[in-house]
Formats: sequence, C-alpha cells, structure tokens
Amino acid sequence: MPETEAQLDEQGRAVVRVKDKSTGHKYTELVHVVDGNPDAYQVLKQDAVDAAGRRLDPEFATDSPAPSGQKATTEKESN
Amino acid sequence: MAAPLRPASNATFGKKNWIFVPTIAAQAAPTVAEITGASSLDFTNIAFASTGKPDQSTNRVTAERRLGDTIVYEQIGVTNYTGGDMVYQFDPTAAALANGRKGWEKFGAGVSGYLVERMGIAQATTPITGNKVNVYPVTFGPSLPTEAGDGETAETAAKCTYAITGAPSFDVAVV
Repeated sequence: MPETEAQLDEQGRAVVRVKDKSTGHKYTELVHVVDGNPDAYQVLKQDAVDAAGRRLDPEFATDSPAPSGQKATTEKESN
Repeated sequence: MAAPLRPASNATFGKKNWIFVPTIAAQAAPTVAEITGASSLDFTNIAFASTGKPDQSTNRVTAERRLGDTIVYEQIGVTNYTGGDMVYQFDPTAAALANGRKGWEKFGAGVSGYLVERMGIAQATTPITGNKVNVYPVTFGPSLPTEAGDGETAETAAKCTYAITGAPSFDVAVV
C-alpha cells in the first residue's frame, strides 16, 4: 500500500503519483497497479491529479538515453 | 534493361504488436524501458479484431479557379489523423490486477499515452533496441462494459473511444 494518500481521478479510481524505476519518468498511476508491482515504482508525496480530477502530465527524466544514429543501407535501389 | 526490383513481402499475420505506453519522453526515440515498463500494456491479444485502428485521410481539393482558367487542377489539402473505438476483453468476474481486468484498469476517461505499433516481427518477441515502430499520441474516453461477438460467440468486453491528439511518429527506431 502506498505511503501517500491516494486521490481520485475523473473516473473515481484511486491514483497516486509515482516514479517509474526503469525509466525515471514521473506520472500518475492506479493504486492497485502500483500495489501489484511495487518494486517497479517509487510512490511520491505529490499530487496525482488536478482540482478537477484530471491526471497530471508526466514529468520525464532528464537523463534519458540519446537516440542512436540510424545508418542507411549500402544496398543500391536499382541495378 | 534489368528486371525491376520486387521487394520481398513481410507478412504481418501473427507478426504485429500493439502496446499502450503511458509515457514517452521523446516520441521519435521511444526507449525499450518505456515500451516494456511495468505501466505499459501489450494489448495485442486483449483488443478484439473489431477495434478501430489509427487511420489517415488527406483531402484532395480543387484549386481556386481564376477568371481565365479553362482547366483546374487538384492540390493536397488537410490531413486528418483519426482514432477509433477500442473493443477489448473485460471480465467483470476477474479480480483486480488479473488478466481479465488489464484493459479495464488501463484504458478509460482522461487516460493519455501512446499507442506503439510494431509490425513484421513475431508478436512473442520482446521489443528491443533497433526495432522500428509507429507511435501515436492518444487520449481515451470513458469505457463502457459491453459484449464482443453475438449469440453463440458473445463474450464479456468493454469499449472506449480514443483520439489521436498529436502528430504520429512513423518508422522510428526503439533506442
């Protein structure tokens, strides 16, 4: 069970603000999803929804890996 | 003259995945961790075949005729990316977090994220760096319990509408 008190989203479902341990992103997730996989999340003491119950936008980790360069094939298109 | 090239076919029957990813930092460079994270859901075998897939329609419009024009031509107009109705398996008798509730717990009013489509690779193959995917930013409407099929084939389901809320990214590599 998350340490932070859950809030209700637009559909009346209990949500909390979490940090995804695999990506570092912070977003709002359902309480029982977090409970079902507690090792994947760090529950944050932050609001999960706004005053109208809308889920707050995610916050992205700043140390996400840079995209790898895509190399063109050396095969010619026509013979 | 040499024979014109004929690219090899890559069948998608059994070789397509649809994955809902709640957060992607860089849409043109989704990461393996984001796509396979705990909050992502591969709904390839949860959504029914009747689910509406993302689509695109581009207007062909006739150019404005001038006084002296005796011939008018077409030009490309507005392109509209459209979502659809997702019809997915939902078992109201299933316990929370059970497979029968994965879709119901993931999709619904106010939920935003990305639909990631991967084609041409066996669906049981976990996404890895280098896989090419299409990414659609979406928002869902409310879910409604319903049935899929009819009569002898009917089974419990739910449906919700999703909208494409931004420019998709096509043929981008997973990093």
